[in-house]
Amino acid sequence: MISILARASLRYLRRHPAQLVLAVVGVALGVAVVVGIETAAASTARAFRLSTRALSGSATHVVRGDARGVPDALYVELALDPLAPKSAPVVQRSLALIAPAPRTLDLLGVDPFAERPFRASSVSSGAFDGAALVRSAGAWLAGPTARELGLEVGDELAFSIGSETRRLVLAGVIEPQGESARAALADVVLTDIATAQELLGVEGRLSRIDLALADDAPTRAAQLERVRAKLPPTCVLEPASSRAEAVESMTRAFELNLRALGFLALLVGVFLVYNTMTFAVVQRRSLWGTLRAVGATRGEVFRTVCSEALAIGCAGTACGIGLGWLLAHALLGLVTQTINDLYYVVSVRELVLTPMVLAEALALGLGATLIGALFPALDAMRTTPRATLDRAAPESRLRSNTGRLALAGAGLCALALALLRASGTSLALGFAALFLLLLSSALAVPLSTTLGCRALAPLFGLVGGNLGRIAARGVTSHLARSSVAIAALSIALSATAGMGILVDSFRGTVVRWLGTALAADVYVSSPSSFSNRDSAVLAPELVQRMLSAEGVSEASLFRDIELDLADGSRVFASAVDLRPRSRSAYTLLEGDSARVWSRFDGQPTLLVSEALARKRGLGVGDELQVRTAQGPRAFEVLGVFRDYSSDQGWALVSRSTWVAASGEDRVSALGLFLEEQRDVDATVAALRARLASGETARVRSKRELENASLEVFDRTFAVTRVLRLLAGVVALLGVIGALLAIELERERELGVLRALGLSPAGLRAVVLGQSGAIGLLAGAFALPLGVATALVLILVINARSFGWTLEVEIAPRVLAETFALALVSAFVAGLYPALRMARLSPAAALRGE
Amino acid sequence: MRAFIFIALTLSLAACREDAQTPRATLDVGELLSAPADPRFERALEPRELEFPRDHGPHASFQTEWWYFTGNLADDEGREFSYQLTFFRRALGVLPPPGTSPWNARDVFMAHFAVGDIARERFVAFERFERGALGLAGAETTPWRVWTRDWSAAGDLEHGPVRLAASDGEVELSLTLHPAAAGSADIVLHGERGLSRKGAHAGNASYYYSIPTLLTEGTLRLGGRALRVRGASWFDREWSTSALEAGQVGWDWFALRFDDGSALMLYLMRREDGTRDTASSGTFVESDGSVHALRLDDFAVDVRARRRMERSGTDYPARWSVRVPRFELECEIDALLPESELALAVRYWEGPVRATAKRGARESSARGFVELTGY
Repeated sequence: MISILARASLRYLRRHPAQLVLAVVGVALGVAVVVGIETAAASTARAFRLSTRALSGSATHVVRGDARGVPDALYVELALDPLAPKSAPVVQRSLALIAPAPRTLDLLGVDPFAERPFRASSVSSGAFDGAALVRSAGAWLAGPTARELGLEVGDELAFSIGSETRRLVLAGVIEPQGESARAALADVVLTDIATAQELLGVEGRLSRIDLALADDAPTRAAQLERVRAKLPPTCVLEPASSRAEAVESMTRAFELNLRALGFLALLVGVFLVYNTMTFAVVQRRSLWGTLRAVGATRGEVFRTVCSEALAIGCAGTACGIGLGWLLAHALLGLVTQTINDLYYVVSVRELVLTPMVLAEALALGLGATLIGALFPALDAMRTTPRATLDRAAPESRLRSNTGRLALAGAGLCALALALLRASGTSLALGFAALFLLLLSSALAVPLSTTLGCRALAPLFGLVGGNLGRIAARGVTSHLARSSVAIAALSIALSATAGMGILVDSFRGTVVRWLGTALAADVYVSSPSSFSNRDSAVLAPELVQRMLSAEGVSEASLFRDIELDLADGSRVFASAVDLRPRSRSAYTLLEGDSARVWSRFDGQPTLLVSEALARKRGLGVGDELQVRTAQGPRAFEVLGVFRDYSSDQGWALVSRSTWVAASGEDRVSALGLFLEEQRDVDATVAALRARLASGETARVRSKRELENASLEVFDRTFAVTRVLRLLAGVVALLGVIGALLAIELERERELGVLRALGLSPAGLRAVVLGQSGAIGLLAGAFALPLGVATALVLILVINARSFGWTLEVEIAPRVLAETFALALVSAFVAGLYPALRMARLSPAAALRGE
Repeated sequence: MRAFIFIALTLSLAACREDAQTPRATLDVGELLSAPADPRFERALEPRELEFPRDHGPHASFQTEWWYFTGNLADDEGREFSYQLTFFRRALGVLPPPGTSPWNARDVFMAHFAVGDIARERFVAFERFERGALGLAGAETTPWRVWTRDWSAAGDLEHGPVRLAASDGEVELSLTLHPAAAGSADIVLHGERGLSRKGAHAGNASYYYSIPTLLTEGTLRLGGRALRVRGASWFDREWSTSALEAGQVGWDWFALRFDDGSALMLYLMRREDGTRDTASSGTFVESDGSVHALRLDDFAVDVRARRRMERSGTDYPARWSVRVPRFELECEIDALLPESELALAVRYWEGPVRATAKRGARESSARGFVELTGY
């Protein structure tokens, strides 16, 4: 038998479906945002891990070479040595597919005979013939990839390699069995190793050698020794996982940022739950009193309220997980786009709801609901039968406590600031401080609201007479309810404003930086597989043709490389031959310009970007041990330059130094300076006309390159925009819920007004005016809070995540937008209660008296 | 006579299976049985003058060939072992591929290495695949050498010594082989002066010769212990272009060295309908060295017992009665190590056997090898 308390609960919830739905939706949205983001990010990371693991197979170690790779001869030596571990050669590179559709594919050239162990097994429908792989000189694709591209066996794939177009015939299709196989082979072009070498023009070179070392320690040690003894100075031996870990760690900051945005949505959700539960408890004060009077214990009342909250939490969390799953699909494209733009190529075929994410969703959804319900439950528990007649008790309690709450807020704020200062470089603590700051502001809301309303009342009176004053005072007379709504709305708004300011500042800084960093008039580069980094090179003959073109006066040469450091790690770098005008494009944050450039060319010196300097703790005079063809060599850091092109950071070495160190003299990009008075666009067109058919080099004017860079930038922040929007929606729901609660509670008061002769239109105006006042106040609080949030995001979070110095730029547009958003959402939120109240029959409303 | 196995050279890199995280190679045997050979390859149409050492080396104009060592060994305490080390070459095409990468290869090599410890009923088998490029695998005539990665056979087959080396993990074999007779080895040409027919159609044949006895000694490392071993090896050599004929499903091959110095090789081609193909044949070598070709009606082979493999569940014959009435030869053959199945890319049974024989009234015994395919 259901207890009388439970039946009372059920009956109440049944009679107030709108409240119930709002609360459930609030929790659901908060959970959905967290689940959506986590799932998209986790699925991306998982796809990356699966494919790396599947593609590196049972390899325990790998041998990697310098920029030119590992010589074939080293593999042969290892393969013929019975004491060396099992080994397999690999040629791997991201390729830009240009036909039948533009897409980035991962070329994987393998030796099927070294891919061991071979096992007899029934050949599945998707099997393909290894000897045919060797014989066909063709490409093999996974079935899903081939179908997406509309390719059938015998069709042609065209790739852009360096500045040329090269073709492969689709020789076969593999139907991967099982998820890891699907992840591994998604967007992979599998070829024989000979085919891969010829396609890339790297005959005699391997990307790496995979090694499978023995399990037992002594043999393993002996095998490692054996391999080390054969390594030329240009090669290193490293654990197979180290590269994947390094790549994965690149996106950690990015993922943390996404996650923090998700929590923000949930935070707003907590306010919503708090609001609903408070309202639900307050509405039933007389019921609690009666129940207590007939013998229900305090504990029973407390448990009843908590059970209600739990039911809402469960429903909300369940819906939220489902909703989050849908949201993840929508976010996935944005997340992978950003990762592909900035970090590495990954193709996610499967979204996976991990137990981790599920547990997190449950903990957050239920936890948030219970926290939101805690105070209302305590309130209900404390209700004495006598107090039931006193509707204003919680309000007066809050009103007398606004000062104390604000003081607590100030304390929390101080704590947040102290945490910001003390947390060093910890990103997580930075976020924690940010959340504390937001919470502290929430504590200050009741006091600020009281003060704000006092200021607003005359203003409202001026506009709306008595009705205006009634509307403004309505906010303070229901302070417990309205301050929650204001806090929720202002936190959500300040978060969106903060993000807006961050993106604006970032974009402004990048635009200014691009203006100086792109010194040359025209840029020639090979089409890149990554938007931000390109390992492809231009054909020497093409370079000559461009340099000798009419109108070109001089050129800076760039080659994107990776420096292998003695500790086994790598640093992106550019080997450059700069004209003086290009040199001035590098704004030095450290180091003296004249001294830097006089010691740059032909010497073992380098410049490091701000991000790299911060990441590795480098400063002028420090040294990096770089492995060169002549063995390890110390490179001195001459200076630190400002850069926003890579959050991993990169270095600048002189081309002559690099050519001497590596024997590599190819070029991956040209910066052309035109003769005076030359029309840039006409010259670009002329240069493009000089490209032979099949050559795919990109010729772009400075302006076009700037636009392309900003396009990538905007794509990167597309996720942010979506999340801002979601936080806004949750906030809007919060305001609707709060207003509804306030108005319902005011039914009798409004009924009196109606009985005294106020028209329904007047009543609508009062309600709308009141919600307008809430919007106005929330907007007013959101502005300083938004700026504070932006400052924390820019100066703390961004600096700790990416190591960039951004110039803070507070556009009035963002502030105006925020304020407008506050008013609009408050107005929208007020519409339903206003219409509802206007229909109120005075007699019904007054019946309770 | 191991046409089945060369088929294994056409590998299949199958899509990953759930249990294996990486793309694995598997073999598509059935498909290859019907793979027609490129008509530009040379075929074994008629007997030709075999010449040594020339014919020990590779025959690039034929699509397929192999070098096959099997041996029965014992350590100083009389504990018996068996080994198999074989190298297969298969051409992927008639012409070398046109590309510029040094990895381009015309030939692919496969090698099998197996060791049996008869007393302990232990049997291990390994395989290697490699392309004939970059010195990773190959076959050379002078000096004679065939290798696949770090496994190799090299030396002078007629005068000795020949050195065999193969290892995988804990198992390592290093042997030196010498001809039995002082001077030079007895090379036995099978079929018609070395032309061994495998089917009714002309060209479905191979060139096939053996050296039945090569005295063998060396070291075998098994489970951390190095053992000195000695015994005798049988060398088989065959090259061809033809594939199996329709209807043929596999074969049973017997190679026995009797202690009176005689030797017997038999192969039985089995057909789908359970009958024996008329192309089945054999060779009997008298102790005086005289060689006699045997046709299907010259001998009878009856299976006396069978054995189901623990690992694969495949059922193989394990005991046979063989009669060759023309030479009054009757023998009972027993598998010494019934679990000698090579569960590799292609699955087959190849293991040591012993035989008790009666030649008229004289009794003798034999050691040797049996190969069973297509089960």
